[in-house]
Amino acid sequence: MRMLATSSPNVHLAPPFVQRRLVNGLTVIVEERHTTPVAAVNLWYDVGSRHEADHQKGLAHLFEHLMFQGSRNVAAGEHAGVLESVGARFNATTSFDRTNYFETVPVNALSTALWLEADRMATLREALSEQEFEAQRDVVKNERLQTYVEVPYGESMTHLMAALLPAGHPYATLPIGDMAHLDAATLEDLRSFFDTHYAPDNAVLTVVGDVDPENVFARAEEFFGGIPAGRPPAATPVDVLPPLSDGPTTTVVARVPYPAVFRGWRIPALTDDAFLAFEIAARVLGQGNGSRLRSGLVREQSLAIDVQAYAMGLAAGNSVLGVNAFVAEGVAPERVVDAVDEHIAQMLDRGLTDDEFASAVARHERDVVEAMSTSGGRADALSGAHTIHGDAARADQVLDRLRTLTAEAVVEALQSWLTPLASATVVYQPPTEEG
Amino acid sequence: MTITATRPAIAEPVLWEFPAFDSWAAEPGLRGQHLALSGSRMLHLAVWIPTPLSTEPREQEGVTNLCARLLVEGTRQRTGQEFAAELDRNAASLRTSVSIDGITIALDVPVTRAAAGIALLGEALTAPAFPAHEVERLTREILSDLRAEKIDGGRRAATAFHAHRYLDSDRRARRLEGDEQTLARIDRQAVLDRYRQAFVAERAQVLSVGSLSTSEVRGMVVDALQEWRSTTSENASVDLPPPQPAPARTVLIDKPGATQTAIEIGWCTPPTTDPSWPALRIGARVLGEGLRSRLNLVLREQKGYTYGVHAITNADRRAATFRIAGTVASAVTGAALTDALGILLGFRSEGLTDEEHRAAATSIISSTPISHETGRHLREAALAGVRTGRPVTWLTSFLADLGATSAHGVSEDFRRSVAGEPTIVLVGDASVCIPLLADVGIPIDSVVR
Repeated sequence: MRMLATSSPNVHLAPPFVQRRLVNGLTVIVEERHTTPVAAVNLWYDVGSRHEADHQKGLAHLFEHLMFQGSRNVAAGEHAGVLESVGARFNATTSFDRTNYFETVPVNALSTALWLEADRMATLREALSEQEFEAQRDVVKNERLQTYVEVPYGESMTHLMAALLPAGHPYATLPIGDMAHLDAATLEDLRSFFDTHYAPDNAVLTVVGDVDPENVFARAEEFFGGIPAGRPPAATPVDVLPPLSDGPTTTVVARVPYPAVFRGWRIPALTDDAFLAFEIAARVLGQGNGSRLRSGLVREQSLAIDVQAYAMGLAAGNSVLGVNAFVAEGVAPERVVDAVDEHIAQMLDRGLTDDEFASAVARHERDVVEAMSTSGGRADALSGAHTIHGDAARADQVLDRLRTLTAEAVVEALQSWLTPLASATVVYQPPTEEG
Repeated sequence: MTITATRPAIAEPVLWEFPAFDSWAAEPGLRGQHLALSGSRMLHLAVWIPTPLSTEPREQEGVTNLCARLLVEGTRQRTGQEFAAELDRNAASLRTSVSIDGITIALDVPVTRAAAGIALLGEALTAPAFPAHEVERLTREILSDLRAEKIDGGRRAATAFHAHRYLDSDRRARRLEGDEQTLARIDRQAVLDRYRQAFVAERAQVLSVGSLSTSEVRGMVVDALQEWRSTTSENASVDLPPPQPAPARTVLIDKPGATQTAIEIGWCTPPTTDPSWPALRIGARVLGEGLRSRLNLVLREQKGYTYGVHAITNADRRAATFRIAGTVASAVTGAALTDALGILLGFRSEGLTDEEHRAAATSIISSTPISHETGRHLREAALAGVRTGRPVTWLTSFLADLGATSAHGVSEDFRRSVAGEPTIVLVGDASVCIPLLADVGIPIDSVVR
C-alpha cells in the first residue's frame, strides 16, 4: 500500500478510529468493524440553516436534494441509481447546524460510493440546471406540506422556535425554510451557496466498516485529493441568550384532534459540557413510561394523553429543552402548563432521587451505545463529534462523562435556566366547530 | 491533478449468509431459538404468540391489542408505575404489539442486566393485574389516537384501503385496535377473558439474539416463565382464515381544505409461501422503492408532484397485499393518479427489462447484510419469518429463490399475482379532486364525506 505523502501523520485520538487530514483540508476518519461485509460512508458539511442569509432560508435543505441531481461525471439521478443497484441504504438530512450525506454499502461498492461523493463535492455546480432546480423546489414544497402542514401539530416546532428566539436569530427559522425565498432564488444564488459551503475544508468524511484503513485513505486521496480547498466562511459567533423572562404564550388554532401544549426553554449549547445534564434531566422528566411527567400528568392526574421531554442540542448559542403534552379531554391546557411547572419546581427544589438519576444515566448510556451499533450510526457519531466539537473522540467520551456526572450537578445546571417565566409556550386548540 | 478521478468498477459482492440460530425447548411447552452474537452489548428477545385476531369477539375487536398493551401497566407484584420504574432501572424496554395473526412481546436490555429484564418480561406475561383504571386510561389513549388518524390523510388512507380491499366479514378489513363502538364494549373482564384465551404458553416461541449462550438464555427464560400455564382448555386455531377480497372500487374520502391528496392503490396477492413472492418483492423494488424506481422517477424526480411514493408488500400467514402509497399536491391529483396507474398497469402488462431485473435482484440481495447488521435487526428478521409461518432463517432460501428468477419469470409471476382491478383510495379535498378526476376520466365509485 502506498503511503500518502500529502496527508498529515496519523492521529490516534482514541482507539480504534484513525484520522487524517488531506492537504485540501478534508478530514478523513476511518474505523474498522469486521462483523459484516458492509461499509458506511458519512459526510458532514459544516453548513446548516443557521448559515443561510436572512433572505435565503431553505437553501441548505434544498441542496440536500440538488446533490442527487448529477455532477460532471454523473447524470441526473445516477447517483441514487448506482447506489440503489448495489443495495445501498442512503439518504441525506439537513439540520440547523449541518448537512450530512450518508450511505451504507456492501463493502465491494465502497470505492464507487467514495467516488460518487467526491464527484458531487468537486463538480456539482457544473450540473446545476433550471429544470432540476424547479423540480426539486416542487419536491421540497411537497415535503413541507406532507411533513409540516398536513400533519397534526406539524408546525409546532416552527411556532416554538419563533417564540423562543428573537426574529432574525439563526435558529428562529426551521431548516425547511421559507418557500418564498426558494421561489426568489436564482441559479446564481445556488452556485454561490455551493462555492461557499461545499468544499473539502468545510467537510469531514468518515468510513466505518469491513475495511482496511490504509486502503480507505488511499481512495480518499485518489478521489478527493484533487479538489481544491475552498474558502469556508469564518465561524459566525452566536450569542448565548439568557433565559426568557416574560414567558410568552402563542395560541394556534388548527385542525388537530385535541389541544396540546408545547413548551421550550433556552439552555446551554451542545458544545457546553453542561448540555449532558439537560439530556439526563429530560429523561427524568419525560422520557419513558416511568418518567416524572408521564407518571404525574398521564397516569396519576389524567391531565394528558401523552407527554414527552427532550433536549435538542444546537451547536451555537443555545440549545432547547422541550416538553410536549397532549391534553386529555375536558382538561384546560393551562392546567397542563401549570402541572409541568409544578413538576419542574419540585425537581429543582427536592432534586433527583438516586434511583431515578441512576436509571436515567443507564438508559442514556444504552441509547448512546445502541445508536452506534450500526456502521452508519457509528460513522454519523464520529462525523458529528468532529464537526460540532472539533474532536471525533467526543463520540466516546460521553460514556466517561456520564460516569462523573452527579444528580446534584444536573439540578444545579437546571436552576439557572429553568427559572419562572423562562419558557415559551405554544398552545394548540382545535377549532371550536368541526371542520 | 484532475479534480475527479476515474470512476472505479464495482467489485464482486462478498457472500453473506443469515446466521444460524440454536433451537431449545423446555417445560411448560416453551420453544425458543437463540443466536449467540459475540460482542453485542444488548440482548434482543421476543416472545411470539400466534393468535389470529379473527378469534376476537366481533363486538369487542381491539381487545387483544388492549390486553397486550396492559401487560406492562401493572402486575400482581407491582403497580404500573413501579413496573415502569423497574424497567428503567435496568435500562430495559419492553414493548408489546399485535399483528393480524399474533402478539409480540419484545425485550431490549443490556446483556449485563438480561436476567432482570427477562424476569420482568416473565412477570408481565404470567402475572398481569389489568387494573380497571388502567384499562380505562389505555382505552382513552387508543380512542385519542383514532381521532388523530382521522385528521392524518396518509394514515386514514391506509386504514380505508384495508376496509375497502377486504369484505367486512374478513378481520383484515378492520383496525387491529378496534373502533369507538367495539372499544366501548371492552371492560376488565373482557380483557381478562382474552388473556386466558390468547396468551397460551404452548403456542409461544421465544426468539433471541445477544452475546449470551443458548443455555444461559434458556435458563433465564425458563426461570421467568415457569409459572406460565395455559389457562384455557380451548384449542383455538392459530391460523387466520383465508382472505376474502372485496370487489375493486375507487373511493374518495373528503378532507376539506387539504393541500395534498393521500393515495393508496393496491391488490390482494398470494402469501409469502407462494412461489411468486420473489417476483412481488422485485416488482416493488422496480416500481416504488427508491428515488430511481419507476414511480418516483416520474412523479417525484421529473414532475415534482410528491415528496415520494412507496411500494409496500404486507403479508400474514395466509395472504398479502401489494400496494402503492403516497401523497401528492392537491392540484395534481388527477395527473398524478393517471401517471401512477399508467406506470403500474404498464409494468403489469409489459413486465420488466433484463437490466431492471438484474439491478433489482442484485439490490435486494446486496442490501441484506446492511439491513441485518445488529442483533435487533436479526431478531426482527427471525420474527418476520415465524409470523408468516416460515423458519427463522427464511432469508437464506428467499434470497436463493430470488437470485434464481429471470426477467421473464418475474413478469409472468407479477402479472398472475397482481391480477384484476386495483382498489383505489384517495383522501383529499373532494371539491378539488372530483373535477380533476373527471378531467382525466377516472370514475369514483363512492365519496365519503
